[in-house]
Amino acid sequence: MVSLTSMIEKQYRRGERHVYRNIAGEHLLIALHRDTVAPMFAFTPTAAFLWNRLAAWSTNARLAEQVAEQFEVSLDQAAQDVAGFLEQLSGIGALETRES
Amino acid sequence: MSCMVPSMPMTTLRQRMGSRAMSEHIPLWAYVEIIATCNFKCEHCYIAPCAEREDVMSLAQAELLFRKLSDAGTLSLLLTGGEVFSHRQFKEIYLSAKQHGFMVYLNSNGYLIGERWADFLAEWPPVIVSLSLYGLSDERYQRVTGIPNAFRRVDRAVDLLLERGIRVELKCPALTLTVDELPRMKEYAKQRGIEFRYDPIITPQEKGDVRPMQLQLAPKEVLELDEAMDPGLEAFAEFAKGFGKPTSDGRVYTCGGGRIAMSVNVKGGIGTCLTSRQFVGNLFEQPFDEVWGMLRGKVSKKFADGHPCATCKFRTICAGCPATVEEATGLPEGYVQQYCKITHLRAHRIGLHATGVPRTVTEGIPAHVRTPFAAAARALPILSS
Ligand code: SF4
Ligand code: SF4
Repeated sequence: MVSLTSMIEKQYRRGERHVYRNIAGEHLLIALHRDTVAPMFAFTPTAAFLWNRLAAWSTNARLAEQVAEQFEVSLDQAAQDVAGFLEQLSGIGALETRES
Repeated sequence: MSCMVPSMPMTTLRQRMGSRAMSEHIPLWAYVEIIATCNFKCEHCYIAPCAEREDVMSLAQAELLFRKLSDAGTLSLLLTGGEVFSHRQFKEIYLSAKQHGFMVYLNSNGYLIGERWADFLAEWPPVIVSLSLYGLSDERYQRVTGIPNAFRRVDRAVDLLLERGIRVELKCPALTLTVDELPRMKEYAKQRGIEFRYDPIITPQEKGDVRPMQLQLAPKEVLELDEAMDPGLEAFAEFAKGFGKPTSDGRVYTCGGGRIAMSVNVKGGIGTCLTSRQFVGNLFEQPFDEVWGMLRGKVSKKFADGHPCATCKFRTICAGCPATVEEATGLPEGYVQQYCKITHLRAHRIGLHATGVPRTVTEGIPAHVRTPFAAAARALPILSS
Protein backbone atom coordinates (compact mmCIF):
# COMPACT_ATOMS: atom_id res chain seq x y z
CA MET A 1 0.00 0.00 0.00
CA VAL A 2 1.33 3.46 -0.86
CA SER A 3 1.34 5.71 2.18
CA LEU A 4 -0.51 8.98 1.94
CA THR A 5 2.49 11.06 3.01
CA SER A 6 4.64 9.78 0.18
CA MET A 7 2.06 11.03 -2.31
CA ILE A 8 2.05 14.50 -0.85
CA GLU A 9 4.67 16.48 -2.66
CA LYS A 10 5.98 19.85 -1.63
CA GLN A 11 5.82 22.51 -4.29
CA TYR A 12 7.74 25.74 -4.48
CA ARG A 13 7.34 29.07 -6.18
CA ARG A 14 9.33 32.29 -5.84
CA GLY A 15 7.75 34.98 -3.66
CA GLU A 16 6.76 38.42 -4.84
CA ARG A 17 8.82 40.43 -2.42
CA HIS A 18 12.09 40.05 -4.28
CA VAL A 19 12.96 41.05 -7.83
CA TYR A 20 15.66 39.44 -9.96
CA ARG A 21 17.90 41.69 -12.06
CA ASN A 22 20.74 40.84 -14.41
CA ILE A 23 23.01 43.88 -14.49
CA ALA A 24 26.59 44.29 -15.70
CA GLY A 25 27.06 40.54 -15.77
CA GLU A 26 25.80 40.00 -12.22
CA HIS A 27 22.70 38.11 -11.17
CA LEU A 28 21.05 40.07 -8.38
CA LEU A 29 18.07 39.56 -6.16
CA ILE A 30 16.68 42.82 -4.81
CA ALA A 31 14.50 42.82 -1.70
CA LEU A 32 11.43 45.01 -1.75
CA HIS A 33 10.00 44.51 1.72
CA ARG A 34 11.41 44.71 5.25
CA ASP A 35 10.78 40.98 5.82
CA THR A 36 14.17 39.90 4.59
CA VAL A 37 17.72 39.77 5.85
CA ALA A 38 19.52 42.07 3.39
CA PRO A 39 18.58 44.57 0.67
CA MET A 40 20.42 42.72 -2.09
CA PHE A 41 21.77 39.22 -2.77
CA ALA A 42 24.06 37.88 -5.47
CA PHE A 43 23.12 34.74 -7.39
CA THR A 44 25.29 32.29 -9.26
CA PRO A 45 24.14 31.52 -12.83
CA THR A 46 22.60 28.27 -11.54
CA ALA A 47 20.63 30.17 -8.91
CA ALA A 48 19.43 32.61 -11.56
CA PHE A 49 18.34 29.66 -13.71
CA LEU A 50 16.40 28.17 -10.79
CA TRP A 51 14.82 31.51 -9.91
CA ASN A 52 13.45 31.71 -13.45
CA ARG A 53 12.08 28.17 -13.20
CA LEU A 54 10.41 29.14 -9.92
CA ALA A 55 8.10 31.60 -11.67
CA ALA A 56 5.62 28.71 -11.66
CA TRP A 57 5.03 26.09 -8.95
CA SER A 58 7.57 23.31 -9.16
CA THR A 59 9.00 20.46 -7.12
CA ASN A 60 12.47 19.65 -5.90
CA ALA A 61 12.57 16.65 -8.24
CA ARG A 62 11.46 18.61 -11.30
CA LEU A 63 13.91 21.41 -10.58
CA ALA A 64 16.72 18.89 -10.11
CA GLU A 65 15.95 17.34 -13.49
CA GLN A 66 16.12 20.74 -15.13
CA VAL A 67 19.43 21.60 -13.44
CA ALA A 68 20.89 18.22 -14.45
CA GLU A 69 19.83 18.81 -18.06
CA GLN A 70 21.11 22.35 -18.20
CA PHE A 71 24.38 22.10 -16.27
CA GLU A 72 25.54 18.54 -16.91
CA VAL A 73 25.63 17.40 -13.29
CA SER A 74 24.31 14.13 -11.90
CA LEU A 75 20.71 14.01 -10.79
CA ASP A 76 21.79 13.30 -7.21
CA GLN A 77 24.12 16.28 -7.16
CA ALA A 78 21.45 18.49 -8.73
CA ALA A 79 18.87 17.37 -6.14
CA GLN A 80 21.24 18.28 -3.32
CA ASP A 81 22.02 21.65 -4.89
CA VAL A 82 18.36 22.44 -5.43
CA ALA A 83 17.50 21.51 -1.84
CA GLY A 84 20.26 23.80 -0.58
CA PHE A 85 19.11 26.66 -2.74
CA LEU A 86 15.48 26.30 -1.73
CA GLU A 87 16.55 26.39 1.89
CA GLN A 88 18.51 29.58 1.27
CA LEU A 89 15.57 31.20 -0.50
CA SER A 90 13.26 30.19 2.29
CA GLY A 91 15.69 31.70 4.80
CA ILE A 92 15.47 35.11 3.19
CA GLY A 93 11.68 34.98 2.81
CA ALA A 94 11.77 34.66 -0.99
CA LEU A 95 9.96 31.35 -1.36
CA GLU A 96 6.34 30.21 -1.23
CA THR A 97 5.49 26.59 -0.53
CA ARG A 98 2.41 24.39 -0.80
CA GLU A 99 1.65 20.71 -0.67
CA SER A 100 -0.28 18.83 -3.27
CA MET B 1 26.78 24.33 -4.70
CA SER B 2 25.91 27.52 -2.93
CA CYS B 3 23.65 29.39 -5.27
CA MET B 4 23.69 32.68 -3.50
CA VAL B 5 26.94 34.36 -2.69
CA PRO B 6 26.44 35.79 0.77
CA SER B 7 30.15 35.63 1.59
CA MET B 8 31.12 38.14 -1.10
CA PRO B 9 31.00 41.64 0.39
CA MET B 10 28.57 43.87 -1.45
CA THR B 11 31.30 46.49 -1.89
CA THR B 12 33.32 43.97 -3.93
CA LEU B 13 30.29 43.18 -6.03
CA ARG B 14 29.56 46.86 -6.55
CA GLN B 15 33.17 47.57 -7.54
CA ARG B 16 33.05 44.77 -10.06
CA MET B 17 29.80 46.07 -11.48
CA GLY B 18 31.15 49.64 -11.48
CA SER B 19 34.22 48.68 -13.54
CA ARG B 20 32.16 46.71 -16.02
CA ALA B 21 29.58 49.51 -16.25
CA MET B 22 32.37 52.03 -16.93
CA SER B 23 33.82 50.00 -19.77
CA GLU B 24 30.44 49.09 -21.26
CA HIS B 25 28.68 52.42 -20.55
CA ILE B 26 25.86 51.00 -18.47
CA PRO B 27 23.81 53.64 -16.62
CA LEU B 28 24.06 52.02 -13.19
CA TRP B 29 22.89 55.21 -11.50
CA ALA B 30 19.90 57.41 -12.30
CA TYR B 31 18.84 60.53 -10.42
CA VAL B 32 15.20 61.22 -11.12
CA GLU B 33 13.42 64.48 -10.29
CA ILE B 34 9.78 63.54 -9.88
CA ILE B 35 8.66 67.03 -8.84
CA ALA B 36 10.26 70.44 -9.25
CA THR B 37 8.12 72.31 -6.70
CA CYS B 38 8.76 72.30 -2.99
CA ASN B 39 7.06 73.20 0.29
CA PHE B 40 10.19 75.17 1.27
CA LYS B 41 11.35 78.44 -0.27
CA CYS B 42 15.08 78.15 0.20
CA GLU B 43 17.23 81.17 -0.59
CA HIS B 44 19.87 79.05 -2.31
CA CYS B 45 17.58 76.74 -4.29
CA TYR B 46 18.29 76.23 -8.00
CA ILE B 47 15.09 74.43 -8.92
CA ALA B 48 11.94 75.23 -6.93
CA PRO B 49 11.90 79.02 -7.48
CA CYS B 50 11.74 78.40 -11.25
CA ALA B 51 9.12 75.66 -11.07
CA GLU B 52 5.51 75.88 -12.22
CA ARG B 53 2.74 73.99 -10.44
CA GLU B 54 2.54 71.50 -13.28
CA ASP B 55 6.24 70.61 -13.12
CA VAL B 56 5.44 67.19 -11.75
CA MET B 57 6.18 63.79 -13.27
CA SER B 58 3.04 61.69 -13.58
CA LEU B 59 2.89 58.07 -12.47
CA ALA B 60 2.57 56.98 -16.11
CA GLN B 61 5.66 58.99 -17.07
CA ALA B 62 7.59 57.61 -14.12
CA GLU B 63 6.65 54.06 -15.07
CA LEU B 64 7.70 54.60 -18.66
CA LEU B 65 11.00 55.93 -17.42
CA PHE B 66 11.51 53.05 -14.98
CA ARG B 67 10.94 50.51 -17.74
CA LYS B 68 13.53 52.18 -19.95
CA LEU B 69 16.06 52.52 -17.13
CA SER B 70 15.52 48.96 -15.98
CA ASP B 71 16.08 47.63 -19.51
CA ALA B 72 19.22 49.78 -19.80
CA GLY B 73 20.72 48.28 -16.63
CA THR B 74 20.13 50.93 -13.96
CA LEU B 75 20.49 49.51 -10.47
CA SER B 76 20.52 52.52 -8.15
CA LEU B 77 17.79 55.09 -8.49
CA LEU B 78 17.54 58.34 -6.54
CA LEU B 79 14.12 59.94 -6.31
CA THR B 80 14.48 63.65 -5.72
CA GLY B 81 12.75 67.00 -6.16
CA GLY B 82 11.74 69.66 -5.23
CA GLU B 83 10.24 67.79 -2.35
CA VAL B 84 9.28 64.22 -3.16
CA PHE B 85 6.83 63.84 -0.27
CA SER B 86 4.76 66.71 -1.64
CA HIS B 87 4.11 64.69 -4.83
CA ARG B 88 0.51 63.45 -4.72
CA GLN B 89 1.48 60.08 -6.17
CA PHE B 90 4.75 59.67 -4.34
CA LYS B 91 3.70 56.37 -2.77
CA GLU B 92 2.75 54.82 -6.12
CA ILE B 93 5.90 56.10 -7.83
CA TYR B 94 8.11 54.87 -5.01
CA LEU B 95 6.54 51.41 -4.97
CA SER B 96 6.77 51.20 -8.75
CA ALA B 97 10.49 52.02 -8.54
CA LYS B 98 10.91 49.26 -5.95
CA GLN B 99 8.93 46.78 -8.05
CA HIS B 100 11.15 47.49 -11.04
CA GLY B 101 14.01 46.16 -8.90
CA PHE B 102 15.93 49.39 -8.29
CA MET B 103 17.88 50.08 -5.14
CA VAL B 104 15.95 53.22 -4.26
CA TYR B 105 17.50 56.26 -2.59
CA LEU B 106 15.48 59.28 -1.43
CA ASN B 107 16.23 62.98 -1.10
CA SER B 108 13.91 65.02 1.10
CA ASN B 109 13.81 68.08 3.32
CA GLY B 110 12.05 65.94 5.94
CA TYR B 111 9.30 68.44 6.77
CA LEU B 112 6.43 66.22 5.61
CA ILE B 113 7.72 62.97 7.11
CA GLY B 114 5.41 62.09 10.00
CA GLU B 115 4.55 58.73 11.51
CA ARG B 116 2.62 57.49 8.49
CA TRP B 117 5.42 58.08 6.01
CA ALA B 118 7.98 56.70 8.45
CA ASP B 119 5.90 53.52 8.88
CA PHE B 120 5.54 53.21 5.12
CA LEU B 121 9.29 53.55 4.57
CA ALA B 122 9.98 51.07 7.35
CA GLU B 123 7.80 48.55 5.56
CA TRP B 124 9.31 49.19 2.12
CA PRO B 125 12.80 50.39 3.02
CA PRO B 126 14.86 52.65 0.77
CA VAL B 127 18.63 52.25 0.79
CA ILE B 128 18.89 55.59 2.54
CA VAL B 129 16.94 58.78 3.14
CA SER B 130 19.17 61.76 2.55
CA LEU B 131 17.72 64.68 4.47
CA SER B 132 18.67 68.32 4.03
CA LEU B 133 19.33 70.00 7.36
CA TYR B 134 19.34 73.79 7.29
CA GLY B 135 20.04 74.63 10.92
CA LEU B 136 19.29 73.59 14.46
CA SER B 137 16.49 75.99 15.37
CA ASP B 138 13.15 77.12 13.98
CA GLU B 139 14.57 80.63 13.65
CA ARG B 140 17.45 79.46 11.45
CA TYR B 141 15.10 77.40 9.33
CA GLN B 142 12.86 80.39 8.85
CA ARG B 143 15.83 82.42 7.57
CA VAL B 144 17.07 79.76 5.15
CA THR B 145 13.83 78.12 4.02
CA GLY B 146 11.24 80.81 4.69
CA ILE B 147 9.11 78.31 6.67
CA PRO B 148 8.21 78.76 10.36
CA ASN B 149 8.50 75.98 12.95
CA ALA B 150 10.33 73.75 10.49
CA PHE B 151 13.30 72.55 12.54
CA ARG B 152 11.07 70.86 15.12
CA ARG B 153 9.39 68.89 12.33
CA VAL B 154 12.63 67.88 10.61
CA ASP B 155 14.15 66.96 13.97
CA ARG B 156 11.14 64.70 14.63
CA ALA B 157 11.39 63.19 11.15
CA VAL B 158 15.01 62.23 11.86
CA ASP B 159 13.92 60.51 15.08
CA LEU B 160 10.95 58.76 13.46
CA LEU B 161 13.12 57.31 10.70
CA LEU B 162 15.95 56.27 13.00
CA GLU B 163 13.55 54.65 15.50
CA ARG B 164 12.35 52.44 12.67
CA GLY B 165 15.83 51.43 11.61
CA ILE B 166 15.78 53.41 8.36
CA ARG B 167 19.19 54.59 7.22
CA VAL B 168 19.44 58.38 7.23
CA GLU B 169 22.13 60.84 6.24
CA LEU B 170 22.13 64.59 6.69
CA LYS B 171 23.53 67.23 4.40
CA CYS B 172 23.64 70.99 4.31
CA PRO B 173 24.82 73.56 1.79
CA ALA B 174 27.56 75.71 3.32
CA LEU B 175 26.09 79.18 2.88
CA THR B 176 26.65 82.51 4.53
CA LEU B 177 23.31 81.69 6.23
CA THR B 178 24.35 78.29 7.61
CA VAL B 179 28.13 78.36 8.00
CA ASP B 180 28.25 79.22 11.70
CA GLU B 181 25.99 76.30 12.63
CA LEU B 182 27.67 73.64 10.50
CA PRO B 183 30.04 72.32 13.22
CA ARG B 184 27.06 71.90 15.58
CA MET B 185 25.06 70.21 12.82
CA LYS B 186 27.91 67.76 12.39
CA GLU B 187 27.74 67.10 16.13
CA TYR B 188 23.95 66.67 15.94
CA ALA B 189 24.45 64.00 13.29
CA LYS B 190 27.29 62.33 15.18
CA GLN B 191 25.17 62.03 18.33
CA ARG B 192 22.63 60.12 16.26
CA GLY B 193 25.26 57.95 14.61
CA ILE B 194 24.63 59.28 11.12
CA GLU B 195 26.72 60.77 8.33
CA PHE B 196 26.82 64.51 7.73
CA ARG B 197 27.99 66.24 4.56
CA TYR B 198 28.28 69.86 3.55
CA ASP B 199 28.84 71.42 0.16
CA PRO B 200 30.25 74.91 -0.29
CA ILE B 201 29.50 75.28 -4.00
CA ILE B 202 26.33 77.15 -4.88
CA THR B 203 24.98 77.41 -8.42
CA PRO B 204 22.54 79.86 -10.03
CA GLN B 205 18.83 79.13 -10.33
CA GLU B 206 17.79 76.93 -13.24
CA LYS B 207 16.66 79.93 -15.28
CA GLY B 208 19.84 81.86 -14.64
CA ASP B 209 19.06 84.08 -11.65
CA VAL B 210 22.39 84.33 -9.82
CA ARG B 211 21.06 85.46 -6.43
CA PRO B 212 21.84 82.08 -4.77
CA MET B 213 25.53 82.60 -5.56
CA GLN B 214 25.59 85.64 -3.32
CA LEU B 215 25.28 83.17 -0.45
CA GLN B 216 28.45 81.35 -1.51
CA LEU B 217 31.38 81.54 0.90
CA ALA B 218 34.62 83.14 -0.25
CA PRO B 219 37.49 80.65 -0.73
CA LYS B 220 39.20 81.67 2.51
CA GLU B 221 35.96 81.19 4.42
CA VAL B 222 35.56 77.74 2.87
CA LEU B 223 39.00 76.80 4.15
CA GLU B 224 38.17 78.10 7.63
CA LEU B 225 35.02 76.01 7.58
CA ASP B 226 36.93 72.93 6.36
CA GLU B 227 39.35 73.42 9.24
CA ALA B 228 36.53 73.67 11.76
CA MET B 229 34.82 70.56 10.39
CA ASP B 230 37.94 68.47 9.73
CA PRO B 231 40.93 69.76 11.76
CA GLY B 232 44.11 69.62 9.70
CA LEU B 233 41.94 68.52 6.75
CA GLU B 234 42.93 64.99 7.65
CA ALA B 235 39.95 63.31 6.03
CA PHE B 236 40.47 65.42 2.91
CA ALA B 237 44.16 64.46 2.81
CA GLU B 238 43.17 60.81 3.00
CA PHE B 239 40.70 61.29 0.16
CA ALA B 240 43.28 63.20 -1.91
CA LYS B 241 45.76 60.34 -1.51
CA GLY B 242 43.51 58.04 -3.47
CA PHE B 243 42.25 60.52 -5.99
CA GLY B 244 44.76 63.32 -6.46
CA LYS B 245 46.29 61.93 -9.60
CA PRO B 246 47.02 63.95 -12.71
CA THR B 247 44.79 63.30 -15.70
CA SER B 248 46.54 63.75 -18.96
CA ASP B 249 43.94 62.96 -21.60
CA GLY B 250 42.36 66.42 -21.43
CA ARG B 251 38.82 65.11 -20.93
CA VAL B 252 36.46 67.66 -19.36
CA TYR B 253 34.45 65.01 -17.52
CA THR B 254 36.35 62.67 -15.24
CA CYS B 255 33.27 61.64 -13.24
CA GLY B 256 30.68 58.97 -14.00
CA GLY B 257 28.14 61.42 -15.46
CA GLY B 258 27.09 60.27 -18.93
CA ARG B 259 29.18 57.11 -18.53
CA ILE B 260 27.54 55.22 -15.66
CA ALA B 261 25.19 57.88 -14.31
CA MET B 262 22.53 60.25 -15.53
CA SER B 263 19.79 62.54 -14.27
CA VAL B 264 16.25 62.93 -15.53
CA ASN B 265 14.20 66.04 -14.85
CA VAL B 266 10.39 66.25 -14.51
CA LYS B 267 10.03 66.79 -18.24
CA GLY B 268 12.15 63.79 -19.22
CA GLY B 269 15.27 65.85 -20.01
CA ILE B 270 18.55 63.98 -19.55
CA GLY B 271 21.60 65.42 -17.83
CA THR B 272 24.88 64.26 -16.37
CA CYS B 273 23.79 64.85 -12.76
CA LEU B 274 21.38 66.93 -10.70
CA THR B 275 23.62 70.01 -10.73
CA SER B 276 23.69 70.25 -14.51
CA ARG B 277 20.60 71.99 -15.87
CA GLN B 278 21.54 71.76 -19.54
CA PHE B 279 19.61 68.75 -20.71
CA VAL B 280 20.10 66.69 -23.84
CA GLY B 281 17.30 64.66 -25.40
CA ASN B 282 14.05 63.55 -23.83
CA LEU B 283 13.57 60.13 -22.32
CA PHE B 284 9.78 60.37 -22.38
CA GLU B 285 9.83 60.75 -26.15
CA GLN B 286 13.03 59.18 -27.47
CA PRO B 287 14.48 55.68 -27.21
CA PHE B 288 16.96 55.21 -24.40
CA ASP B 289 19.94 54.48 -26.65
CA GLU B 290 19.40 57.70 -28.56
CA VAL B 291 19.47 60.01 -25.50
CA TRP B 292 22.21 58.01 -23.78
CA GLY B 293 24.28 58.39 -26.95
CA MET B 294 23.66 62.15 -26.91
CA LEU B 295 24.82 62.37 -23.32
CA ARG B 296 27.92 60.33 -24.10
CA GLY B 297 28.66 62.81 -26.85
CA LYS B 298 28.43 65.65 -24.34
CA VAL B 299 30.82 64.04 -21.84
CA SER B 300 33.42 63.18 -24.46
CA LYS B 301 34.41 66.85 -24.74
CA LYS B 302 38.04 67.79 -24.36
CA PHE B 303 39.63 70.97 -23.08
CA ALA B 304 41.13 73.35 -25.60
CA ASP B 305 44.92 73.67 -25.53
CA GLY B 306 46.15 75.97 -22.81
CA HIS B 307 43.07 75.54 -20.62
CA PRO B 308 44.19 75.72 -16.96
CA CYS B 309 42.29 72.54 -16.00
CA ALA B 310 43.54 70.43 -18.92
CA THR B 311 46.70 69.24 -17.21
CA CYS B 312 45.86 70.06 -13.60
CA LYS B 313 46.84 67.43 -11.07
CA PHE B 314 44.04 68.50 -8.75
CA ARG B 315 41.20 67.72 -11.15
CA THR B 316 39.80 64.87 -9.12
CA ILE B 317 39.87 66.84 -5.86
CA CYS B 318 38.72 70.11 -7.37
CA ALA B 319 35.95 71.98 -5.51
CA GLY B 320 34.23 72.55 -8.83
CA CYS B 321 33.25 70.07 -11.49
CA PRO B 322 32.06 70.35 -15.10
CA ALA B 323 28.45 70.70 -13.94
CA THR B 324 29.05 73.53 -11.46
CA VAL B 325 31.31 75.23 -14.01
CA GLU B 326 28.62 74.80 -16.67
CA GLU B 327 26.08 76.49 -14.41
CA ALA B 328 28.35 79.45 -13.70
CA THR B 329 29.80 79.93 -17.18
CA GLY B 330 27.37 78.24 -19.58
CA LEU B 331 29.95 75.64 -20.64
CA PRO B 332 31.29 72.58 -18.80
CA GLU B 333 34.72 73.45 -20.20
CA GLY B 334 34.61 76.96 -18.74
CA TYR B 335 36.71 78.04 -15.77
CA VAL B 336 35.72 79.44 -12.36
CA GLN B 337 38.65 80.91 -10.52
CA GLN B 338 36.77 80.72 -7.20
CA TYR B 339 36.72 76.92 -7.36
CA CYS B 340 40.36 76.92 -8.33
CA LYS B 341 41.26 79.09 -5.34
CA ILE B 342 39.35 76.84 -2.93
CA THR B 343 41.11 73.78 -4.33
CA HIS B 344 44.57 75.34 -4.18
CA LEU B 345 44.04 76.53 -0.61
CA ARG B 346 43.00 73.01 0.37
CA ALA B 347 45.94 71.49 -1.51
CA HIS B 348 48.31 73.94 0.21
CA ARG B 349 46.86 73.05 3.62
CA ILE B 350 47.67 69.37 3.15
CA GLY B 351 51.09 70.02 1.63
CA LEU B 352 50.29 69.33 -2.02
CA HIS B 353 50.84 72.89 -3.27
CA ALA B 354 53.56 75.34 -2.33
CA THR B 355 51.65 78.62 -2.25
CA GLY B 356 47.92 77.88 -2.37
CA VAL B 357 47.59 80.39 -5.19
CA PRO B 358 46.54 79.19 -8.65
CA ARG B 359 48.65 80.03 -11.68
CA THR B 360 45.75 81.94 -13.19
CA VAL B 361 46.03 84.49 -10.38
CA THR B 362 49.66 85.23 -11.13
CA GLU B 363 49.63 84.68 -14.88
CA GLY B 364 46.04 85.47 -15.81
CA ILE B 365 43.29 83.37 -17.41
CA PRO B 366 43.83 82.57 -21.11
CA ALA B 367 41.51 84.73 -23.21
CA HIS B 368 39.88 81.78 -25.00
CA VAL B 369 38.62 80.23 -21.76
CA ARG B 370 35.00 80.97 -20.82
CA THR B 371 34.69 82.46 -17.32
CA PRO B 372 31.50 83.19 -15.30
CA PHE B 373 28.89 85.44 -16.87
CA ALA B 374 29.23 89.01 -15.62
CA ALA B 375 26.28 88.66 -13.25
CA ALA B 376 27.52 85.34 -11.91
CA ALA B 377 31.02 86.70 -11.47
CA ARG B 378 29.69 89.68 -9.52
CA ALA B 379 27.65 87.37 -7.31
CA LEU B 380 30.64 85.20 -6.38
CA PRO B 381 32.39 86.50 -3.29
CA ILE B 382 36.04 87.27 -3.84
CA LEU B 383 39.02 86.23 -1.80
CA SER B 384 40.32 89.01 0.40
CA SER B 385 43.85 88.30 1.48
S1 SF4 C 1 14.30 72.00 0.31
FE1 SF4 C 1 15.57 71.66 -1.51
S2 SF4 C 1 14.17 71.70 -3.27
FE2 SF4 C 1 13.10 72.59 -1.48
S3 SF4 C 1 13.39 74.80 -1.73
FE3 SF4 C 1 14.98 74.01 -0.36
S4 SF4 C 1 16.72 73.56 -1.72
FE4 SF4 C 1 14.91 73.77 -3.04
S1 SF4 D 1 39.67 74.78 -11.43
FE1 SF4 D 1 41.82 74.88 -10.84
S2 SF4 D 1 42.09 73.25 -9.32
FE2 SF4 D 1 40.18 72.85 -10.41
S3 SF4 D 1 40.79 71.51 -12.07
FE3 SF4 D 1 40.81 73.57 -12.91
S4 SF4 D 1 42.94 74.26 -12.64
FE4 SF4 D 1 42.65 72.46 -11.33
